[in-house]
Amino acid sequence: MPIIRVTRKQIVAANKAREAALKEKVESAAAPKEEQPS
Amino acid sequence: MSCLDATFTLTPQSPNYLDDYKNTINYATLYCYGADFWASSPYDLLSDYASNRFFFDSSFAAGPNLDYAQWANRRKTRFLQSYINLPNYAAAQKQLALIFGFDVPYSSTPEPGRVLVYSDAGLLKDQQLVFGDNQFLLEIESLDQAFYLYFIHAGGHWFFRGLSGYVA
Repeated sequence: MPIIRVTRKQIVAANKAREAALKEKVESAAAPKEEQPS
Repeated sequence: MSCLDATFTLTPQSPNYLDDYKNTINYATLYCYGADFWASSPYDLLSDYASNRFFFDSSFAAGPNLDYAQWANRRKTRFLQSYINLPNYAAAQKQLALIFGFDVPYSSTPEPGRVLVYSDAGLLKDQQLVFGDNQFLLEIESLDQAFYLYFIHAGGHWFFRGLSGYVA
């Protein structure tokens, strides 16, 4: 049977990456929008 | 016959596991972000429901060259997601064996089934699903942090049957 090993280090890296992506999304949503040309 | 009962089994009809113990909740869940249906059995909605499976059609497979750790890429394709949080077992230094169950319906599919197994940090494995086989194993070293896994449909016709977790 094929086996995929997932280490603790990979889980920690994944959670950090997820946290960073969420933070970026929140900051991007909170940033003031540039005025659109009419 | 199995020698060890699964701690949990997540299927299309039973996608949640919840175990409330001493005010700590062990939790595992399965999300499906798109599956396929044809007009006839065993690929139609009723058959899939009756057999408790999701079907994935090769025509809608994801391209293998994008980074599906990024939501912007993942959201455009069909994939399964699992969230696993088992804090009670972490204290006891337990590990988790996750069995991904599948069926490949016939040997002459256009290509073998293919699943890209991802975490939020990147690709863990490009896994072929071969006719005649029906499962692959993920060995999770540590349960002290909750985690997400993503199973991206990337080729072939195949059925998803379930995800079973064995804490040991």
